[in-house]
Amino acid sequence: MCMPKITTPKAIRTSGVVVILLCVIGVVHADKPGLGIAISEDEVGALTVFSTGVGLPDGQGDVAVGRQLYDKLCMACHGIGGRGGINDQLAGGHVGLDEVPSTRTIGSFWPYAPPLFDYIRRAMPFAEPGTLQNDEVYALVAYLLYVNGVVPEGTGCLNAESRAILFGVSVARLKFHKGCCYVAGNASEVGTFDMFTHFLTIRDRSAILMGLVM
Amino acid sequence: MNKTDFAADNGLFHRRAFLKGGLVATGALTFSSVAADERKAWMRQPGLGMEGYSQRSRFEADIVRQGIGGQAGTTGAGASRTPLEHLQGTITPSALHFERHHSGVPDIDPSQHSLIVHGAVKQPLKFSLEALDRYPHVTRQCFIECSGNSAALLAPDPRDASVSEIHGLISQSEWTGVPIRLLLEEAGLAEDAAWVVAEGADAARLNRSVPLEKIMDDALIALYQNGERIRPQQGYPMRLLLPGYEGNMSVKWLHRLQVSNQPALSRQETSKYTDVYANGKAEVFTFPMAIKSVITSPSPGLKLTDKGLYEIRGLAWSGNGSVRRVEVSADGGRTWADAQIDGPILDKSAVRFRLPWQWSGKPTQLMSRAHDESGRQPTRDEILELKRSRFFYHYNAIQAWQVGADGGFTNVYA
Repeated sequence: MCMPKITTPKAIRTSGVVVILLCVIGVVHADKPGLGIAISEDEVGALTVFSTGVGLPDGQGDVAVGRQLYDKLCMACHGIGGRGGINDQLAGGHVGLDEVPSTRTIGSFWPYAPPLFDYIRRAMPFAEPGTLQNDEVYALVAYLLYVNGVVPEGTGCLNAESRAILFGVSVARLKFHKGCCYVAGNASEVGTFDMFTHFLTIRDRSAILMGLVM
Repeated sequence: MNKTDFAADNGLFHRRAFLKGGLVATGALTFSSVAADERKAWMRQPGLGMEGYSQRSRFEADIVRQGIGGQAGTTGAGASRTPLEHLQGTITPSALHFERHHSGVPDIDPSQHSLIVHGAVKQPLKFSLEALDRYPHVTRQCFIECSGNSAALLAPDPRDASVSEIHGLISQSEWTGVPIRLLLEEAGLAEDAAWVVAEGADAARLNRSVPLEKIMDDALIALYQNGERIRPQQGYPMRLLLPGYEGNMSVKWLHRLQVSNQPALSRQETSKYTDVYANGKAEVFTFPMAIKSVITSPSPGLKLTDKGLYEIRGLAWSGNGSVRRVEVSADGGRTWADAQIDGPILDKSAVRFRLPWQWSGKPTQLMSRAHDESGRQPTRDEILELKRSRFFYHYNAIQAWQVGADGGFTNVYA
């Protein structure tokens, strides 16, 4: 078959029609190469912990254990009690973000507690990420919330009910620092996701599903 | 010189003054005394042979990334910046693309790397690099800009810094890869699917949540950068590419896409990469990089050697669409002239603009301002009025360069 004018626009249009026809009659499935290998969700072992607490593993840890771990693994970079280190300040800054200058710490600028668990587990300690057990991560979360005044030392124990307590902390923090809340941005781009609505949803879920009294 | 060749005050020519021809030389030409047919050293013997992978001229070896800095006590957590004042056109050489790493550059063996698509899908899937290579590819040009770019201009007093030190966290490449839509359609989306959490395979396992709409629109699994496999610094063997969105979201070393009914609201999207406003509230999900432009030459570090004719050159870009117009001022913003924009003008891509300018030899200020479909690039005062100084990301105000009587340039606030 000789087609000397194959590169002319007309010829391309013609061959396009041929491809479309083949698709219609089911000879060509050009839209689905189908080369993905089926796996099960369990195989993935996803690390993500969502702000709502979805993805939190079972585990426990308290402020006292967290302090020991912090002093050993974190203090060199983040300072004593989360202050005065060579890297990010983790504690303090408990003024509204309308103050100048605002100091952004876990206490002043992390709107939810579960992502704190997520971040420590995925990326810390900086030189040896992935070496902490879930219980150790819970303990560090408890300690860091304690040094930010979010949970009291004696009662900040995160135990087998840690999922529920992390929900609780998340809500308590927002109440504690009324000046700090996130607002939704760019609604036209991402839909109308509103942090405050989201916060109420968490509280409702906590109260209804886990029997927590806020 | 015909007076009608000027488009604005203080020596700004009409953008097509040269292109239409007939322009009279504004300075005396000097002729070299060296005869054109003299044999230089490199003309007296055969040159070097062929080689597998070429390097640039040794005389260009000092054109390197600028403003390289990292977090204390770490290696590889930091940034390096594209030397904008020394580059032309719109494509950044891959070796000079800016870097922002959160825990260094991983040395990934592609045969042991895969992409997993899971979560709110009907069938979780795993794709090898070899498999992805067989999917239909798309090639497109777009910029990537770190949303912390230009934040140095929030300092109360203007810092003595160059265009690359201030604005060098933007680079542009031609990217080739697989539309993610194809992979998600193969896995089958669950009814409540609304977000996709992307995770990298670096030591930080950096994760960001992306609206499903964006993923299905123009997101790519980028495998190639400027025609060759992506460099390790840009995410080898694959990165997420979200045209127009803040650079942090185009997750490098991508190995997992978790479809979900909610955003993770991870550290990178709450305690970082959110914008605090004057009322003390922080805005989340400020994804697109807004309209912006900057004069790359002349600029600090470069020097005008004599009064006379120069070409003002710069870059303009918008993550919200395409650049419609760029204006230049040579009198501190009093009068403006439209710059020539070299085509093609592409969606979510940087363009090169230029305008001939005759420097009188007197001190003045050069500025550029760009427009896209949604409006004009703001002034610094306009941004500070809205956000005060508590925000850090997404600074896109007009940059002013002060020209001194000596022909040198400094960063100033207009």
